[in-house]
Amino acid sequence: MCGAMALAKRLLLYGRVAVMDHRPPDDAPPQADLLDDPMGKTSRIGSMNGVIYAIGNGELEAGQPLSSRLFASDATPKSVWASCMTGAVEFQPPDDGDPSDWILAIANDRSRAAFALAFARFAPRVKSYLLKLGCKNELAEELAQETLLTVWRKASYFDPARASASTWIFTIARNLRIDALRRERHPDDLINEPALLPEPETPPDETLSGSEREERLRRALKTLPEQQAEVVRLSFFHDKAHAEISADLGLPLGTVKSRLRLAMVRLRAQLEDLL
Amino acid sequence: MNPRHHPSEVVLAGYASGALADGPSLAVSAHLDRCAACRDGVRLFEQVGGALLADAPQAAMEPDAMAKALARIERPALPVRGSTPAPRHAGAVLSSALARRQVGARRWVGPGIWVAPVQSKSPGDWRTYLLRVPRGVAVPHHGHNGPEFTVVLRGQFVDDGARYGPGDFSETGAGFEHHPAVDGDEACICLISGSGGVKAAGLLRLIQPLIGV
Repeated sequence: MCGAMALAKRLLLYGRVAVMDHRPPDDAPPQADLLDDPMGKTSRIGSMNGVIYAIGNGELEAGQPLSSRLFASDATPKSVWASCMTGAVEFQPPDDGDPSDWILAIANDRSRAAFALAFARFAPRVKSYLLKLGCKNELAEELAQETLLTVWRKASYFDPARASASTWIFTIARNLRIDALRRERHPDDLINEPALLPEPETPPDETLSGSEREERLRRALKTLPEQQAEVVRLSFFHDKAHAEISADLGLPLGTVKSRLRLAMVRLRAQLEDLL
Repeated sequence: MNPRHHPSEVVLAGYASGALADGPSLAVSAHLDRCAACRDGVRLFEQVGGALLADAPQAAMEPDAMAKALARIERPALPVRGSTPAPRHAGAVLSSALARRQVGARRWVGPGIWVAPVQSKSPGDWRTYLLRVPRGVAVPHHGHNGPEFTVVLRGQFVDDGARYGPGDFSETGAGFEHHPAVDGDEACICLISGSGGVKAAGLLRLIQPLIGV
């Protein structure tokens, strides 16, 4: 897990929060040391439960971004702060790399930094997906939070051979949305955990990882004829039965069905071709 | 034996995207339990969902979203209460999804025929239930006012010349009329989820109020 180790020492910036995994020695007392306004600015940097974080600072926001520079594992809030202030460190959006590695780093190392990366990448996209499906802003925000919280808690179930990170996260968001809609209609019912357990009986593809398959699928999606692509998009981004989609498009249901079937045959063929 | 009658791509896509109502999703789950090909189909559609998510535009999160998330991951998860497992109805082979649902009391509606409602959270007028019909008995001729999804859990029936065995899936739409009959040497138990009700003809009209379909 060298990817995970590298991540663990990164300092990440998201909005007004910077996050860095910091492993105190095992015998160290729990830290909660905050440096308030260490440079006379409205900012804080500190560590809590092994996470070094910095919140709110004009200069950080103004674009002297922290970068993927690695910090020594014995970095402290003070030393991190010092390197930020001397300009030894640059901020930049840390949105790079394969998200599967982040989820593995969460599973294996409980890496807060990897979680922050996953949150920055996916929470805004999950939210926009939910907004498109008609969720109100507040619910979409809450479900995006829940989705990433589930990623943190269930990271050990993630199998990169079976699914890409975005497919896995998509299914989590989908299940949470289904549960939320049911709760809305039936507030008294108990809600089951979303079904996150892998289905063991289907052997994963052995030659391609989930991320590689996804990359091919994304390319294949772009080559679909627009008529088919539209039906595929509407299937995912509208909370509508296909009868309604057919009414919206002014097409007979049979045409919607056959376009979707053609799209699926084509996607499958392109994925299999490449094996 | 692998099922021979499968959900359409439209239904699989609806299942994978979460757009399919709860009752029909239960029926699809029961089919997926037995059908590797359709599990692959659902996986493909889930991958499509993942690819669309990866390319989705970014909505603005609240300014404190990340701070909130980082605080939340430090708190232990609350234990989740599971729902009571469904009672197993005499011999019914319940699907794994169905096994997590409450199944109501059986209502006997004829010799050897019972209907049991399945707990479902579908909107609108979806009705989801188990139907048991003994061997040699035909369901009276009837039509449909809306979509209906049926999956065989046990036994088999014949409809319009096609045979449906365990795991087989059938979709009918509004205006569809048929006269399925149980075949083979055991009773047939199906999970059915339908919307809009059925247009009963003949005998079925007499028992329709009793079985609530």
